[in-house]
Amino acid sequence: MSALLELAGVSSGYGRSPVLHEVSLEVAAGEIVALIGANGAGKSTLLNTIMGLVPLSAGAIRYDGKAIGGLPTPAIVRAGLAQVPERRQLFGAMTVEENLRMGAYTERDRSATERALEEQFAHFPVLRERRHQLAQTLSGGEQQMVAIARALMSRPRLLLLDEPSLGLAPLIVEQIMKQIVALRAAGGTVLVVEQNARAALDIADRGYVLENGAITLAGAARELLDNAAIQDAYLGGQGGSSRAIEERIRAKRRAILGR
Amino acid sequence: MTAHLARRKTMLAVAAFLVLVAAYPFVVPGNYPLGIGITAGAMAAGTVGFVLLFGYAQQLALGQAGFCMVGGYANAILCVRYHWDPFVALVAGAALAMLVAYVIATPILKLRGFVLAMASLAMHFILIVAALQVPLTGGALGTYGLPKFAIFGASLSNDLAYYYVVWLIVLLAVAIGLNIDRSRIGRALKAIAVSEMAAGSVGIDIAKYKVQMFVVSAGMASVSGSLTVHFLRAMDPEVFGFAYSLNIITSVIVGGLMSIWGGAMGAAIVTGLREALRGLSLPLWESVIMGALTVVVLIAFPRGPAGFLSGLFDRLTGERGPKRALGVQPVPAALKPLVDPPPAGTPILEVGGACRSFGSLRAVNDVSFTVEAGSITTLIGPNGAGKTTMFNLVGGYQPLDRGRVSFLGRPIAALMPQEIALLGIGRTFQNLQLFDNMTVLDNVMCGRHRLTASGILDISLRLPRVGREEAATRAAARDCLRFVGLEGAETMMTSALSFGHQRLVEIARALALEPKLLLMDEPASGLNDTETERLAELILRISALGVSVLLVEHDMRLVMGLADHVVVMHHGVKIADGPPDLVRADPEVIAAYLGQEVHERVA
Repeated sequence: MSALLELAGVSSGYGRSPVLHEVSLEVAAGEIVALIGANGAGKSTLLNTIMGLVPLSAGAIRYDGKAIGGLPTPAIVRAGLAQVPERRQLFGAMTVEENLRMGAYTERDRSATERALEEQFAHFPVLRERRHQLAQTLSGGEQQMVAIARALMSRPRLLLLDEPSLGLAPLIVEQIMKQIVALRAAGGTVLVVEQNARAALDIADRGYVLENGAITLAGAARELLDNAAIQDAYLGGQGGSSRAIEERIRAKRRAILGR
Repeated sequence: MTAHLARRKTMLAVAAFLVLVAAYPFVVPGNYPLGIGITAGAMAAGTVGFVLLFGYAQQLALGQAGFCMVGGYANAILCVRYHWDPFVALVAGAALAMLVAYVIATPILKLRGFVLAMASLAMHFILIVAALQVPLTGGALGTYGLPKFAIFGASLSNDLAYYYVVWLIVLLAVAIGLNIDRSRIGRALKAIAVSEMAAGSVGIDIAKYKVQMFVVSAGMASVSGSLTVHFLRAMDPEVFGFAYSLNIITSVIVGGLMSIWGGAMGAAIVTGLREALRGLSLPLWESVIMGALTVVVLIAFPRGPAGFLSGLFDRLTGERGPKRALGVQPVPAALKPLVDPPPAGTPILEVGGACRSFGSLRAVNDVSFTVEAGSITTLIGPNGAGKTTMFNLVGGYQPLDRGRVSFLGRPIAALMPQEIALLGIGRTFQNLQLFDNMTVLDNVMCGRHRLTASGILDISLRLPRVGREEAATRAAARDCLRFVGLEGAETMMTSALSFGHQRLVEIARALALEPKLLLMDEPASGLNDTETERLAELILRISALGVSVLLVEHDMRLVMGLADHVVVMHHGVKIADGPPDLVRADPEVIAAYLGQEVHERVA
């Protein structure tokens, strides 16, 4: 298994405060890798470091065998990576189609852009229906689809997804997760960062746990789901099924409110 | 920053100011440099006011020199024709300018964008034309023979004495500016600059404070005009032309937009540079060099020279990079239960037949529901079901097309967000709306806005009651932070906190207004399971205080675990309404919203 993306001893941060401490991880071609961790653990910083949006202070980032650490972001996008940022960051006052076209900004070949657009509309039919609608008028789930499709417009081999489930209804989270699985089936590779650890590990092949800027655990997604420490920290404790969590909240309610 | 260090920083700044002002005439002796010092000081009084208007209230008035004209002519006319005491004329001119500002600002500042910029320019233009036409002003020739400045008959016959008086008045303007900065009004202005939505949610009247800053800045501009004409001993329409407005704006930009001290420094720098260049007698190059130097200063000191010095002080005293306060346990006893909660079970919020359309889209279509006092009620539904629109209707952010909303029996559908907050309804936002230009504690103190009363006059003069009120506000805000588990994070900037902690700051800010009803828009989004459970406990503790809660949420475990009552919306219509277990079993709800929950499907 040769790694498509490889991070070795990566440290980075903002100004004088380091966020990541010697992070090493690998993503092989055709994999879905989940990166989970608490708020403030540095998950988004990690993605932003890979994309060259946060300066690398130590370590190496290799993509397809080539060092990309320190390259400017447009060069990294041209190399074949694309990011779907947290909270989607759509161009709200632009139409769906215009948003998608922005994703192919580094592509100079117009016909390639048209083909990519057709591919996205084929993959997300609802976006074809809404192609002339302003992005800010879409529902949260549709906006997430636009964000993913926009990232796919540059035909990346590796997609970085930051919190795709944020603010979405359970039914929509399920749809988005299915679409990520479909991307893998179509030959794509995905690194997904999620607060919703269960949803991400459910679809991932492997996972990493990031705590206070350092990787503390790595393994097959299945193993992580069964790991007692992970369950305590991210899945609401042992027996962290939705029922168990709900029951615990109800028990607290009886204790605090007496009803 | 601790109050102690902040006080020391101010004392240091005042000392440096006094030393510089006192030393200048001796370091650079001569009548001409002294004249420059007086001109700069006279302008500085106006620029400090303009910092409040442009920097704090975000209103770019292009015709600020118009108010200098008001002061200039008031003195020219009152002192020359009616032989008034110059100091009394100065005060009268300021009062007149403030009155004029109040009359024109009240309608204008309710509008957005550049309306004020153009309106103030137009006012300036009208004043120039009037000054040329009205006999009283002396027309184009102006009025000559103004007396030297005097205070209640005590004439300041020598320019050195006048120089000191001018700069003492600047210090007074700075003191007023700093008093405003460190008050509920200063916080309100900073809040408005970042998020008008969030400012409204804590009861801040947005237009009111913009008008107040316009009035205060007009008064200071008028004083600036008065001081200038007593030095020139003459007043004509040319003295305060459009170029003077531009100089004021440049000074404020050079000094750092949000820096009160910077306003005074900017006036000194700009006036000094201009005069120094004049000495080179290169008239063509003067404005080019002036422009280039301005850009250099802006690049070297993006927060202005005063901001740079302030940052230096913070670094030397080790105030940068405060310690992280993570993992602090919430203290439920930090807040006391509501004194007079409405009786449990009575309706606190009633929505009846609410409708709201955007074009052809019916976002909310004939929705009715009730929140009972003391309950936790949740509003659920797929994305795009109209939940957030419903929330915005209740919060006064959008008008209802039809229907009614009442809070404790009182109709609130026609009220503005700040008026709804004043009644005791707090809210948090789906996408956090924190004031990221303030510390955590200041954010929460903004939440106390409706419970404090110090007005602009009390604050400008820093009357003792203002200090007492600030101390009480600070203590109450600290209690709210302890309640949510953020003790120790008070002096951090909100942007330094993680997303989950920022959410807690927002909850603390909403609690600070001692709400009877708390509206929370998706508080669990972006939280992991363990954090979600902690949030659930916090919401229960809030409920235990007697606060009724209305929650929009996607996390079904939270909704089903917490709620007394669930309302389900789909495509703008209410499709179910009842206790959680009944709603959960409703086939329509399952089809529209719940589906198979992801984890159950995989497990």
